[in-house]
Amino acid sequence: MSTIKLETSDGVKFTVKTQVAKCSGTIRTMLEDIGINPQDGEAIPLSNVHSTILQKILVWAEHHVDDPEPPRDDADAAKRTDDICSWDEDFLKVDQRTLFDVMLAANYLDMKQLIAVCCKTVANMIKGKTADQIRKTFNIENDFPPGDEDKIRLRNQFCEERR
Amino acid sequence: MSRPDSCATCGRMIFRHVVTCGGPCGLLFHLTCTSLQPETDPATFDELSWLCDGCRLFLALPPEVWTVIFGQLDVPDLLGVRRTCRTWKQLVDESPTLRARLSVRIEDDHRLNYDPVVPAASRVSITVSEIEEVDPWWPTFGAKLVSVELNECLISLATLLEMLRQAPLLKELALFGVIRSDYHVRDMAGANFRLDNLEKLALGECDERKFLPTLVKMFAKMCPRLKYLAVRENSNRKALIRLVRAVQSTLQGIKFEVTFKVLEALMKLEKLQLKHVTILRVIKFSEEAFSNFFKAQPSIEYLCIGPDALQLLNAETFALLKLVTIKIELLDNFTLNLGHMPTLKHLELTATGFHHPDLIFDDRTQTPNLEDFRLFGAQLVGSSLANFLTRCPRLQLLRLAYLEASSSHGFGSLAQPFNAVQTLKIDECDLPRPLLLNLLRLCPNVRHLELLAVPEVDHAVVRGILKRFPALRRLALFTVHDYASLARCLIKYHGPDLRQLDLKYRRGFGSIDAATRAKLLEHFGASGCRVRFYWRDEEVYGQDLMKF
Repeated sequence: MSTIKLETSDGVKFTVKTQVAKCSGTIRTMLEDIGINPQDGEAIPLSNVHSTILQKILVWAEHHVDDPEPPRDDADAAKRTDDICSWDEDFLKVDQRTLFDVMLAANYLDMKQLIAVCCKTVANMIKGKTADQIRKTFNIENDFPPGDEDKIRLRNQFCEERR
Repeated sequence: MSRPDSCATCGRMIFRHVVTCGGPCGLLFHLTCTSLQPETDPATFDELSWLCDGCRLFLALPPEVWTVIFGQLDVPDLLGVRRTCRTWKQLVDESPTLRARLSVRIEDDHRLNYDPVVPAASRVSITVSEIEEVDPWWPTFGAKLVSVELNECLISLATLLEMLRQAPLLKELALFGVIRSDYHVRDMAGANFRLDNLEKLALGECDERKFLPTLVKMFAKMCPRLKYLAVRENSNRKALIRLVRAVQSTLQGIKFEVTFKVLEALMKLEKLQLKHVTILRVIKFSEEAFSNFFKAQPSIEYLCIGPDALQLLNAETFALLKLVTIKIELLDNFTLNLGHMPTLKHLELTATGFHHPDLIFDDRTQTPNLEDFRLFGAQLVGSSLANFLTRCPRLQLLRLAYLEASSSHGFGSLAQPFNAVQTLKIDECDLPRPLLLNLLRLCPNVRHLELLAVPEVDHAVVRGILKRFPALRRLALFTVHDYASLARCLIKYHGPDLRQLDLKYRRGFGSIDAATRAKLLEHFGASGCRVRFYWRDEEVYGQDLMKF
């Protein structure tokens, strides 16, 4: 089985099965379009990804390498957040910093399935919370001028769920 | 002297060299607790706009990713996000997909005071209002609107046209019970613009007899890309036909009252290829004309009909179409015979009257690919429903509401379980206990179960359910029984895969006290299952003119 080398921002080199590395759209494009030849033994530089995060992402890719192509998104499927498989759920039981780091890296590496499952995880962190609780969860400062938040809360009452 | 602040990294007090995070958290740090060089000049801290780790990551996520995350939230959560901080408010307000989920409802009392900037909805419904002139807030608000509904409003044609002119992105427009206060032929001159984006148009119950035909005639010129059209009380058939003729190449769906003349006219339109047809009422018609219409429109996939049209249709007529969805409204006792329909995936039967008509499923109804079946408000006779369901091996969703059963043996004698059913929802059904238990037994692979206002559901039944369905992922309950004992049972017997528990309540029915809530939240919070408490509203079934 063919392998390629990846080099992270902190200079760590990983040897990865080509098939696993191709879970990343970015790497796939590099190999196919730009014509980087992995047989040369030259490592593909991933200047935005730290080794600890790449290691984690490779574990995910290894597990999901044989997944079938996801069906095309319809509106209902996109709104569901309770369909995260239990392996992914355990995989993403990490501190918030690591979760965001994984998302950033997945975004840079263009790994749509991993981003989707991360987004669902973050959405679940927001669901059912008040604005105050959301701020606490994500360490956000209330930067509205005094009184504005009340105004928004009142105006929100005009809003209703779309049928 | 004010108290010194504490550092967000080490927690100790900061007396000097305070670095403020430039991100959304706004927390304070010791210079030595940051990634900054220790010799950095304190005077330049603000210019550096240094970010803490949390904010660096938070801000580094591109807005598209946040939009995807927020796109997975329900409206109340989305409104919560809008209130969190300015960055997120802006993100929601500027995303067309997120804004599309927010709709605003305004009644007369509020109309004049309405400040349209917040919330930046893309849908508005104005109810029971006398609109004399275009409100000053309308132009900014209308510019972003995608959907407008006027309900029971008194408005002149000139004002209506001016409001529409200022809503160029409009995709959906519904006018119900809209009355003109004055109307001059010269107002029609204002209809000199086009609603290029308009895809859905619904008109109905416009009291004054000539106003509706005037509107229909007007829209025939104004909306070149109409896809869906609903017209109730088409007192002027000529105007309706003219409108359909004008948009025949784009029209996909129609909701209308059928007369022989209208269908005859539609059959002559060569470019018309309908996919969705809803027949609100049959005024004058024959069986033969229906089958001729279906022959002329073989592309129909979705058919929604009432009891009057049903009388004129039979299995042979249905066989002319490759229907994917059928919705039928019942009034009287009825025997369902759709014949052989291999394409059908969605079937919904609703009894709209006050009494529950007897419903019998004819053995000739063969729907081998049916995926979801919804049945509202009927009286089940014998085991015909059970036999029908065994003939639907692909059924994934079964929803039963407002049902009564005459015998308790309906599902007893079946050998074949409904193995494909993953979602089972039973709502307001007065079913005998043995029948309910048999039905649950026949759906062994259910992952998502809702039992709402089913009198027989008490903690003993719930205990049985949790033991029988260890792989259950979602459970929703609304019961008149004691929630405290129910909660004890839920905590003791739930399976490891349960991810969501929805408990609903209504005033006067079993309410959930604070101690029970806290206990549930604590237990399920630790096991990774979300618990939600819902105020349960009465649901409304039946037709919504705007829905296709």
